[in-house]
Amino acid sequence: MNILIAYKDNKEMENKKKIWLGWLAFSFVIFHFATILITTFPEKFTSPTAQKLSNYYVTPLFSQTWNMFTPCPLTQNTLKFKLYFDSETTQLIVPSTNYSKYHSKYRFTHHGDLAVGESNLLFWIQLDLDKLNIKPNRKLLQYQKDAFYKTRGYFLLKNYLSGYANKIRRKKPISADVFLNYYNVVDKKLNTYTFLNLK
Amino acid sequence: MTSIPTYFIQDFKHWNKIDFFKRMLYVFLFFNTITLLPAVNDIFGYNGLAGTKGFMWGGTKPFLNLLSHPINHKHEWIHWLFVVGQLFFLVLGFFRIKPILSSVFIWFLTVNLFLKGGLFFTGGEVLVNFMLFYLMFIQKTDKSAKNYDIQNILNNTFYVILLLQICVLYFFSTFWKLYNPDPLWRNGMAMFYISQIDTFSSGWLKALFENNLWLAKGVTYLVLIYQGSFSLIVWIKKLKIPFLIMGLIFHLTISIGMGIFTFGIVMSLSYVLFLDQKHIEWMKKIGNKKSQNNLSY
Repeated sequence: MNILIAYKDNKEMENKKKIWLGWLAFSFVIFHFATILITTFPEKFTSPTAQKLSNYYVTPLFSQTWNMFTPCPLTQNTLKFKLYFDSETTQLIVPSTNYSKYHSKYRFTHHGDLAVGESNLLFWIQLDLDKLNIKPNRKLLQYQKDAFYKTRGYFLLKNYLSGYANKIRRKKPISADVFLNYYNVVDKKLNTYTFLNLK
Repeated sequence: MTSIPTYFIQDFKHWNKIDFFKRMLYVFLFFNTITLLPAVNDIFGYNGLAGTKGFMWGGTKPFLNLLSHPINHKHEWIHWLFVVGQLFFLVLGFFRIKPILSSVFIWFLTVNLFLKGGLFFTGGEVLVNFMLFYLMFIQKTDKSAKNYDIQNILNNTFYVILLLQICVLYFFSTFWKLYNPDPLWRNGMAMFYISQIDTFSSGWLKALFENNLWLAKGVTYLVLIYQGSFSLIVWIKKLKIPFLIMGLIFHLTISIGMGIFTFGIVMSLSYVLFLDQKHIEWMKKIGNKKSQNNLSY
């Protein structure tokens, strides 16, 4: 009889422990998504303190935004550049000519990723240029150039150009002339930003 | 109130589904990496087109950004080690060899690669990072195992997290489209303009929407309605299957029509998580029949 009672008690204890673990698992799910929601909603919807605290858990492992195609992209972005090395200069390079025809035919190859990469690069640069109030189709002033050198867009562009130079010559370029083309599909206008002698 | 903890401690009922999903995801990731091989140096290399964001200390950051460490500058083979390692562990994972070890390494290698080449990727790769992380915690166990209770709770917990993660994705995708000051999603013109951009379109999609503006508007609103209602309808048994078939068509169009291949396929694969056991069995049967037919040829 005593053994039976002890067995029953033991079983009850075990069940209680399991229930407690079940609550713990549920609390974790709530915590996980609460922090994700706090960091993913715009600042207006949450408090800066809550976002800061949630970020400790969320970033970088669970960082997410999901603002896909928002704002709606309206420009076909094309990058063109010339690279200057010690003793030579390349012809005008348009990376997209190499992969766009393959991307339109074969959807599952790496050409699609390269196309997305170039489009993303020019998207980030455009955001910075807009912030700096730099207008297209005009000569850049030195102070605008200096301001652009401090942006994320410039950093990404520099990486891209150095990467390309490394790919074709295995060395870093001294400078580059860069032409950023944004063809707007709404008003059918081509906007170009020209950066000559970009360091 | 006891039903909430009971859900997490009940015997895990979805192992077949998770196993099927895991293996499908591994197959996709394997072929995805194979297609990226010609551009590995450009996308994942320290001296490639993506360059480096700089190595960051603090929390899990260094662990997830190993390919941004300056040591990669002179040792250009390191990112190849990650690529080959990922392929190796994907094969192990697919054949269920060392499942825990392989799932940990698949996540670790994939997350480092995808974060390094982030400029070239879309939401599909971000979702893969999350799903691989959650899948690490869902492992096969049986009642005689010492750690059965804990593993069982982990399985139930991360299974729920996986499903909710997909719902969060759709929720925010709709939220931003409606909340953003850009009116093009709300006035129905978004899909038309997106189809006019070569990077996100194809000749036939461009022509189709150009000649039928009403269709472009209809698709824009349909996308909003589908994404916005996903988190509700996917739990209604009677509506779920036709709804998911509609989503499958939508995501395959994104893959092929818009050329955002990885995102479309990853989203389509994630629908497996919302299927019932009988649907999984049906899909497995079809797979087995096909492989038997191929063998008989």
